[in-house]
Amino acid sequence: MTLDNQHWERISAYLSGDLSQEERNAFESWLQDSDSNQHLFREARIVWESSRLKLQLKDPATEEELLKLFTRIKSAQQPGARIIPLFKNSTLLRIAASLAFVTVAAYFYWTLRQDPETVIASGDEVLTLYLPDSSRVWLNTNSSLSYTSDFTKEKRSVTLKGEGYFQVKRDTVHAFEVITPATTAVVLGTSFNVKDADSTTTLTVAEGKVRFAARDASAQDKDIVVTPREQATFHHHKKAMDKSRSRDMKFAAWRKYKNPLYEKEVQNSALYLSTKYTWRKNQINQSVIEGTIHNTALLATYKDIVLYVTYSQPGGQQKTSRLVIGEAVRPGQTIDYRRRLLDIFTDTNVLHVKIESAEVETGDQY
Amino acid sequence: MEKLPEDDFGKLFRQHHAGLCNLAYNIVGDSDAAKDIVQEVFVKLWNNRSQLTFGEQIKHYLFKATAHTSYNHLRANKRIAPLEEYAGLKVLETAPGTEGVEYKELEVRARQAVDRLPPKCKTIYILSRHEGLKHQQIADTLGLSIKTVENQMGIALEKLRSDLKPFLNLEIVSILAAIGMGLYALLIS
Repeated sequence: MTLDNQHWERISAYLSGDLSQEERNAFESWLQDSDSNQHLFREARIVWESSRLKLQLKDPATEEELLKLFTRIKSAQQPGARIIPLFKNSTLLRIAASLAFVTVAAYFYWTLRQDPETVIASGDEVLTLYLPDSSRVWLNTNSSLSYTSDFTKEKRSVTLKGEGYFQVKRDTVHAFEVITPATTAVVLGTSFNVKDADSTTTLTVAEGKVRFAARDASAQDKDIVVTPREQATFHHHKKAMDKSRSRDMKFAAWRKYKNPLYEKEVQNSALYLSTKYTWRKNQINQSVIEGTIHNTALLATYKDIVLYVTYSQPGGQQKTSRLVIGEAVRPGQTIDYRRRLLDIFTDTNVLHVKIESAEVETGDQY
Repeated sequence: MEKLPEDDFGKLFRQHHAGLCNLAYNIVGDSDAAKDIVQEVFVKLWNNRSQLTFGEQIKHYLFKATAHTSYNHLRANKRIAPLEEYAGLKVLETAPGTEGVEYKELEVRARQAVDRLPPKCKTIYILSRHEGLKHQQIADTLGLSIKTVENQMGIALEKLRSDLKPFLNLEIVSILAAIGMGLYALLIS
């Protein structure tokens, strides 16, 4: 039983509601023509009805993407980086312009040969930013960070003045290097804090290992390895290093002060939390909701999350219920939950869960 | 039109980001590419902000740009990437307006079959079936003629049906089985 594509076109147009009344009538009479037509249509309809499944992206990471977008827009706004169509109409002029540009560029490349530098400086607020390799940096107030345009070529190298917390994207080929006037810290992928003060430079490691070195060749300890929860300090005058244990995460707590992004996370908790769930009736007719909660915030840990549940039965009134999940969800973490409703006498057929509010954990966690 | 301040731009982004990512993800089947596509769309929007009117149309513009960019991406990357995390049926979501949460095997098979369609076919079918667009709207969104859309819809349905043929009969058997069990339950109660 083969049919030409015209029939398929008409079947699909019928199913999607793209036929006019007249065409519908014609189609329906075609259906009545033979059993095989009807059989074909039945199969097509099953296919049509089974193919409505829409995939849900697990974690759209909206806030992170927005930050990325703003970083992109900002760097494009810097002079020289914007493309302005000058020669819209003439191909000849375009070629001439390209040639002239290449000549001038080549001249400057060979004579100057210096990579342009990007400098990012914070004012009196904490700045959250992304480097070209997707590493995340929190820059404390009145600090600055700079890197050259060949950032990802061999070594990912940044120069820091002030204090910064680095969450480095793992890349075993390109080492990541933080240079301060007196020291360098080299890693492959980890999280750590560097603070450059007048007479000392302090490195504290949250995760992974960092090789910390003095830049002055005459220093006593040239090179030490710092592991998680350790703190190394280089004394500029003595040109010596010492190492101690860091008991808590207080060294990274500055990221939460004067940080507009964190303020947003505190005030709009529901914006950073998402839930996915399924529900069913169990044997004693309770609705059982099983799901996950995901936290997309960068710094805020949430607890006592209030889920707002609305449910109703066919033709019935809508009822609501609030469920509280006490467990803490750290940034980037996903937790599971399972709750029952006391709706034994309701033939629930519609049920929606949304996140209403949450508390921010103010402890030492990060 | 006055300049669009960054705050409003952020608001617009937050409002539409997840939905647009899902649209792109359903077309290209790769979560990273989907996010990149939506980034691309917003960068373009930012660059053209002086020429656009911001209002109801913006939603339409974003939807159209995302669908079009996804389609171009899919065409450029002919090798159809297998959808990630297929085993986890939790990622599947029904179209709005339906309440089901459990998926039948056939629905998952159908989703896989949709992903095997050629780029043009797939994009058109998804816009029709997921987004409920009319043929004319699909033609406008992708810059195709309405004839092409009608034609591709027919091809899509025919391909899906022949791809799912082995499961269609099973489906009918299982419906019959369900009716049988229902009758049986009525009899013994």
